[in-house]
This record gives sequence, structure tokens and C-alpha cells, in this order.
Amino acid sequence: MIKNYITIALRNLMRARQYTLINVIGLGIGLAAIVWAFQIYRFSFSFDDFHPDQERVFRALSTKEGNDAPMGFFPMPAVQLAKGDFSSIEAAVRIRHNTVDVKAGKNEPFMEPILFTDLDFFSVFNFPLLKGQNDLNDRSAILITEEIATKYFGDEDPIGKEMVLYAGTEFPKPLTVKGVLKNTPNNSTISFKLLTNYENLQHGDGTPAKPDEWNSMLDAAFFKLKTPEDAGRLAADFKKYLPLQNAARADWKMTGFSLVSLKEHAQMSDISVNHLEERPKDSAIFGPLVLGLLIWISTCLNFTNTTVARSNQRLKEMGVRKVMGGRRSQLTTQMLLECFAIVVMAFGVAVFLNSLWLPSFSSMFFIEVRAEYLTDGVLLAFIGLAVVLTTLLAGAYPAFYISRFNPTQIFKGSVKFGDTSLFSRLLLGLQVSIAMITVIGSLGFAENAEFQRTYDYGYDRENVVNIPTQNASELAAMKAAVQQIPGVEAVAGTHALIGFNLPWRTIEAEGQIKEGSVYSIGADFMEVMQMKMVEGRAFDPKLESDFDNALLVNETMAGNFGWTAAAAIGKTIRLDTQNFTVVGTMKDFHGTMLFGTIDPAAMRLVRPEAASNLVLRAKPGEVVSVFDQSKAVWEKLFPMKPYRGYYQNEVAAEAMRVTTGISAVNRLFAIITLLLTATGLYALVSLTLLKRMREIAIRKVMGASSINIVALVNKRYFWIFLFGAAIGCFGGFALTKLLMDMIFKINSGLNPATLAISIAILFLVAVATVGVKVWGVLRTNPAEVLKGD
Amino acid sequence: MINLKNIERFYRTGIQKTWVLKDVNLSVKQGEFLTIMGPSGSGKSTLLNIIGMLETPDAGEYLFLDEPVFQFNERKRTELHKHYIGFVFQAFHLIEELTVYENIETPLLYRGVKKAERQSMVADLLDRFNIVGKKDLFPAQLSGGQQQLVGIARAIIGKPKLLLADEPTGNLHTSQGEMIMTLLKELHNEGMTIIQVTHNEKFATYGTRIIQLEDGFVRRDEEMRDEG
Repeated sequence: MIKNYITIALRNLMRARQYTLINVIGLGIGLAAIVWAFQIYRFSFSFDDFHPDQERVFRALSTKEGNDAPMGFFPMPAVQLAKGDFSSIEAAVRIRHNTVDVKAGKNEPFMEPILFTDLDFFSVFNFPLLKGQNDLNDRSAILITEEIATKYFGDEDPIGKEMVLYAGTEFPKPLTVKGVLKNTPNNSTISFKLLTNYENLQHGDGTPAKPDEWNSMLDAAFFKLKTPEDAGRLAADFKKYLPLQNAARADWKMTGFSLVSLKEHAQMSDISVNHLEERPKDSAIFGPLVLGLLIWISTCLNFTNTTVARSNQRLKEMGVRKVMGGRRSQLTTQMLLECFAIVVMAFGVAVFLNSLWLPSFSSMFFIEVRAEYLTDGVLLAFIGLAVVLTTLLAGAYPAFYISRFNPTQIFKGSVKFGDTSLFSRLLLGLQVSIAMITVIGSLGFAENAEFQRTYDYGYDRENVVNIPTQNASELAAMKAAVQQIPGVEAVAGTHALIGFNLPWRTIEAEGQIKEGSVYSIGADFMEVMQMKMVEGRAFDPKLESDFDNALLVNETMAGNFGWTAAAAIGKTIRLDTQNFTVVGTMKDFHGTMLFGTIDPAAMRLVRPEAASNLVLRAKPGEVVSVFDQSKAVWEKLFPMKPYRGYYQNEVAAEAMRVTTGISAVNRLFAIITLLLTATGLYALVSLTLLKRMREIAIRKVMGASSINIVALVNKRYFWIFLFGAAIGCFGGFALTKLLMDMIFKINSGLNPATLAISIAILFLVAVATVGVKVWGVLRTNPAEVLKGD
Repeated sequence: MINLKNIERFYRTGIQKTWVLKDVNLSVKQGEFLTIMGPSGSGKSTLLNIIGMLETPDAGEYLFLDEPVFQFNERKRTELHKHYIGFVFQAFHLIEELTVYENIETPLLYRGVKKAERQSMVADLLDRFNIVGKKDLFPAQLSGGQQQLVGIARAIIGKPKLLLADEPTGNLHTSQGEMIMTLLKELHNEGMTIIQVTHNEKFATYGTRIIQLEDGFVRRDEEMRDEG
């Protein structure tokens, strides 16, 4: 029996190739979309789940005066002290990320991310060793990942090779490669390429880190506890280190600590000042989830509608089968089996689509999504479930619908076809809504991309190049050299850069304690960046007092203290222990990316010796050539040091990449849902026409014009279409705005024109689809149709 | 009124042509009641469709009211048949979703007749055909003869000059058939040109002229003596 079912199913599918092909591709897209969304979801919530003892490992977080948000920083010496002080601590790990120049053999030096840590690292975390040994007790050892092994040593065995780390250029630290580790997985909050003992950390001036440097902050501290229940008490006990810490860092007064388990910490996406990797933001997880589900539902709806449409051609077959003794359940089984066959084929398409789509998505968003169909049990189970659900969702209605009819009714021709069914039309309406949502999403984010591209950050980000240097003499030499480049308009040395540093400080004035960024800038910095004053004056390097106690605030900071721009002038502001006088109020500028709002900010003037960054502004249009020329200049001056220059515009790059990426994903999905809507509409209109062929012929004979016929056919779809479009407009507007606000504090919002264009696009697609079909009917000779009766 | 010259209609089976109509020449004057007879497959319905401008022959010329029909575009042709031609079918072809009243009214809608005028025109016809009481019924609720009455009413509501009837009595009992034929005769007496296709020898005699089609040829063409 089963074999007979399968034979018939396959034959039927072969016979209706167009139908089969449309649905295999359609459902393939739907399945690909939910597998994609599911994998993003899993990836996002799988962070750090590969470490054993997840419940026993805790990350220590701190809080800071004036800010209750947990921060990733932890006082460095406290870790080893705590290990000695509290018996419930089994292992303790300090983690400090740095970027260092690394040189091996005759290669040029490269900048690489390195992690300084402790002996306990490998007893707490699971980062498998491929070759050699991972004993961090060996101070001369450096452990590298496969990637680094290949990059520096190619096919040679890296074990025993020397690698030199530089703190500054003058302070080399030679280490020996003792072990090769697997690359860190993408769902790890701890990510590194090089790993060595904490004691190998050197400060910029070449001095080694000492264990009791209370002014030194760790990027993260982890403790493995004997019993996890101790965590709360331990966090409270850690407070005993506060006095030592706060004495060393008056600018960074901590107020307390908390311990969160590794599992919990991996779920957090709101740790402030977190230098570890984080799981993707909620918007990056749930946006795709909603989108994937919408696409999947839309493809299922389409399948349902085309199947119902096709079933009219199969009514006779069903009638005959019933007369021959087929029970309703058997017919239903047969229909469902056909659906199942289509879904299974569709899954093949989904595998193929995802093999193209997942890698390009991953590279667009740095969210590593892969689908290892053969080895991933959870994914397999999900796919099994999805296939069954899709079959039922898409196939159940047609299967029960067709098998319902009484054969004599079928033969008499009195069976009503499904086009008038409200159900089919509601499905179509839903599809229209979904298409509308994706179209609006795509256009909205395209609009946002344009908005962000031209957004005024409050300074010149188009023509500025930043070149970090390691000391004042390097900076002076470089400054003199770049001034000779003809395309350069202005040059300045500075300590802080806008958009790349987060000089977040506690700021006190008139008894109020606030937070804000305090940038230490060089004298000409504001001129290079083309930042504007609103009130008062800019810094004057000729005034010695400006170096000591002058401060500029931006409008937001003035506002935070309740001052107008003019009233701020002359006010006293306290930073740590030192008092400053506000000499000017600056126009607001965007200090970070557009993900956040404008920060309250202040500027203080640093002496040329304290400057480490060179900023230069190119003449409009010449920034690329200036960049290349300054690189050439650098390489001539400092042949052994890597050039680290970058465009100021990179501050906008991440936001641009995200918004254009979302726009691209939405565009792709908009095209897909539009196509799906078109096929769905096509199927329904075909069905209507099939059913009303005779009526249309009669009307034509009675003198109906083409317009009469078009109106007749479209009447029943027009309202449902309008209704679906209205819902879609609302949903698309709400969802797109929600997503925009979740990701970007500064965004373009949605323009009414975007909605209008979306409606127009959808309408055009509908008209084109219906038009093709109706055109064919208008051209048929009514006599042909009526002859059959 | 109608002038057909060398009308040919064929379909191809492989390289062979199978003729449906071959070299048909026919002219019908205003006020005639022409009956087309012939065995099944002799091309009767095809000829009627060509006259009714629903089909185009493969060769030949057709003058309708001295105008060359086949040189017109689709639109002009639709206009012509909208205003001058009415159709009656063997299978009635009423629109099942519409009531009797609405079925009869439909051609007027396509002609853009105003509502008040439509109402009075439909009412007149309902009255004349004695089906006023049935005006709100749906076709399925009527007997075959009543359905064909509605079909004829619908065909003539626009006061066509030419009424084409394709076996109008084919699906009816003899008594109902006679009623329909009497009605056609009446319409003819009022001056309407009628062309009918029929198998029924007796109903053929209601007309003024009979042509016999056989294998696509006009075999016989005879005037009837008007019995008065």
C-alpha cells in the first residue's frame, strides 16, 4: 500500500512539474529561512557552553560610583589575593587583552591580539591543545592558535620557534612557541590568538607588570568555586579590597562586586565596559527569528493555496478513487504523502540555499551561523520537526479539503471550487502583509543607511586620518613629515581621539555627580576636526593656565548640569581631585557610533609631550591619497614598525555595515516574499478563472468589455489585498521602527514616502501577476469555452 | 444584412487539413428567419459562431451591414456584436450566481444603460414573457423551458437586429420547445432577423429559409413558403 502511495505521489508530482517546482523552491526558501533563524538563535545562546563546570565558574563584575550597571573591569591584584584569602576558591584567572606588535623570524611585525592570563586558565576553560604543551607556568612560553601558526610559520613546525613581542618598539620580549591551540570558537566570550603568562605583560614604557599594581584593571576575572552557592557571600567579601583599589584610582572609584556564573555571563549583552566578546544583541537574534518565521509561514501559505488550486484538476481523480472504494483517510494520506515528498525535496533546496546564504550572512554580521546537517543532532531534530510541521501546515487543509467531496457531486460538476473560500483569501491577505513588512523593512533600512551616511557627527569625519604613535618623538617626526604632503590641510597632535577612545569619567560640579567623556586633546585638534564653539573661547596654548585648569564642555554636558551654553562659562568642574574652569561651550558632537546617543563630553588641553596620536585633515577628495602618502612616509621613517593609521570615518563604518547589511537581508527577503505573494496570487487567480471561465465567456458574449472582466476577476481580491496591505503597513512600520530603535539610538525613522513606495511596489507586483493571467483569458475565444457544455 | 464570401474553416492534423467549413457563401437579408440544419459535425455551430463574430474563419470575407467585419479590431467587433447581435444557447448559459432579473439586466449594464431605463426594460420583458413572479429566483430554481425564456429575454433585451440561436430547443421537452419556437416566430414577425441552428425538422419549418450543411458545404438552400 505504502509503495503504491509513493508511486502515485511521485507520478503526480512529475505530472504537475510547474506546481512541484514552484513549491519545492518556495518551501526550500521557507525552510532555509527558519534553519537560518534557528541557527542564529542557537549560536547566540550557545556562548561559552563548551566549557565544563559552567555552573561552578564565575565572572567577577564591578560597579562604579555614579553608575549601577555591572562592568567587566576588575582590580588586578585582588584576584590572586582572593585565591589565597578564601578557601572556597578553587582556581582564579586574570584576563587582560592587549594588542601587541609581534615579530617572528624575518617577517615584518604584525599587530596581534594577545591574552595575558594565569596558570589556572586551562583548568577553568576548555581550549583544546593541538600540539606541544599548554603549561603556562613556563614564563618563556607563548601559546598560539592554528591560525597564527599558519600565518607566521606556514608549513613548518612552530614548536620551539621564537616570537618577539614589543611593548613600544624599544622593549622586545622574546618568547618561545610551546604549544598550538585550536582557534577559539566564535561562540566564545574569550577570544585570542596568542596566549602567555600574565607576568609577561609589559607596560608601554617597557616596565613589567607587577602583581600589586592596584591602578591596573583586568578586562575580566574568573573564579572557579568549590560550591557555587558561595558566590553571593564571596562577592560581598570582595568588598574588603575596595579601599586599596580606590586609593590607587581616585578617578575610578568602585562601589562593589558581583559574581555571575559563566552561563549567565554568556547570556548578558549589557555588561558595560566589557572587553570580552558578547553574544549578538537581542535585535540581531529576534529580528531574524521573526523574519525567518514570516518567510516560512508565507511559503507554507503559498503551498496551501497552490495545492488547493491544483486540487480542482484532481477532483475527478478523487471522485473515481472514492467510487473504487478509497476511504477518506486513504485519500488524505495520499495527499499528505505528496506534500511530504515536496517538503523533503524542498529541504534539499534549503540545504543548497543555506550553503550559499549562511557564509555570506556570517561575513556581513560577524554572527557565525553554520549548519552541520550530518553531525548536529539538535539541528537534525529541528529539521525533522520543521519538515513534519511544514507538511501539516501546508498540506493538511488541501488534503482534508479535497478528500471531503462526495463523488456524485464531483461528477455532476456541482462541487464548488475553493476560490471563494474565505480561508484561501485570508491566507493571501496574510501573505500580502508579510510581503509588505519585508518591503518596508528593506526600504526603511536603505533610507536609514543614507541617513547615517550623510549624518552630521558634529565634526569632519570624511577627511580626517588618525595615526597612532608610541611616543612624542615619533609623533614629532611624523608630524613634520606629513606637513610636507601637499594634500594635507591641517595637522595636530592629541592624546584622545573621538570615536575610538571612551574616556568615561566621573564629573562633579555644584554638588552634582555626573558621568561623561573627558577627552585630552592637543591644541590644534579641534581645528583639524572642525569642531565648533557655541559660547566662550577655544583653548589657547599660549596661556599656561589652559594646560592646567581650563575645560571645554559640550552642550549636552552643560545641559546635564542644568546650564545653558552661556551660563556654563566660568563654572568650576571637578575631575578626580582637580578643579577646572569652563572656558567655552562646544557644539554637540557624536563621540561614539550611532548605536548610542550623544554623550556628555568635556575637553582638556594636553601638552605636546603627552600626545600620542597624530590627526590630519586632507583637502576634500584627497583623503585616500593622503592616507597612502602618509603610510609611505611612515614606512620610510620607521621601517620596522607597522603603520597603524586609519580613517576617522571608520567610526561610522560599523553602523553603516550593520544598517546596509540589514537592508540587504531585508531586500533579499522582500524579493522572496514578493515572489511568493505573486505565485500565491497567481494560483488563486488561476483558480478563479478556471471556475468562472464559463461565466466570463457568457459575459463576453453578452458584450462585456475587457475592463468589465478584469474588474469581475479582481473584485474579490481587491479588498483582501487592501486589507493585507494595510495590516502589513502597520506591522512593517512598527517592526522596522522597533528594530531601528533597538539597534540605533540615532536613526532616520520611517518616512511616509517609504510606505507609499512599498504599497506601490506591492500593487505593481499584484497587477503584473493578475494581468498576465487575465490577459490570457481575455484572449480566449468564448465560443471555445462554451462549446464544452 | 449578412454577406459571407468563400468562408473556410479548417484545423490541421499533422500535415493534413480537416475542413469544418469549405467555400461557404451565404447572404442573409434583413427580416429573414434562417434555419441551419445538418448532421453533427457538419459545421453548423462554427458557422453560427462566425456569423456571431465569436470565431474568425481561416479564409473568406464577411460583410455585416455592409461593413467588413474581419478588418475590424477586437474593440470595434465587440461594439458591433454588443449593439446588433443577441445570442441564445442550447445550454442556456445563465449565470448561476445571478437572479433572473440580474441575468436579463447584465447586457444593459455593459451598454451603460441608466438604472431607471434598465428597470423599465427588464420589467417589460418579464411581463411579456410571463415570468414576473420568477424574477428573484436563481436559474437553478427554474425549469429548462423557463431558463431558456430567460436566455431569450437576455438575448433580446438590447433590441438586437440579429438573433442567433444555437439549438435553442435542444435541451427542452417538445412542448417547451414549441413555446420557445412560437416566441421566436413572434420576434421574427416583429421584424427581428433570426438565425437558428437545429436538428429538429419540425422546428425548422418555423423559419422562412433553410440551409443544409453537410461536411462543411452548403448542400441545399431553400426558401419556405410563408404559411401566413
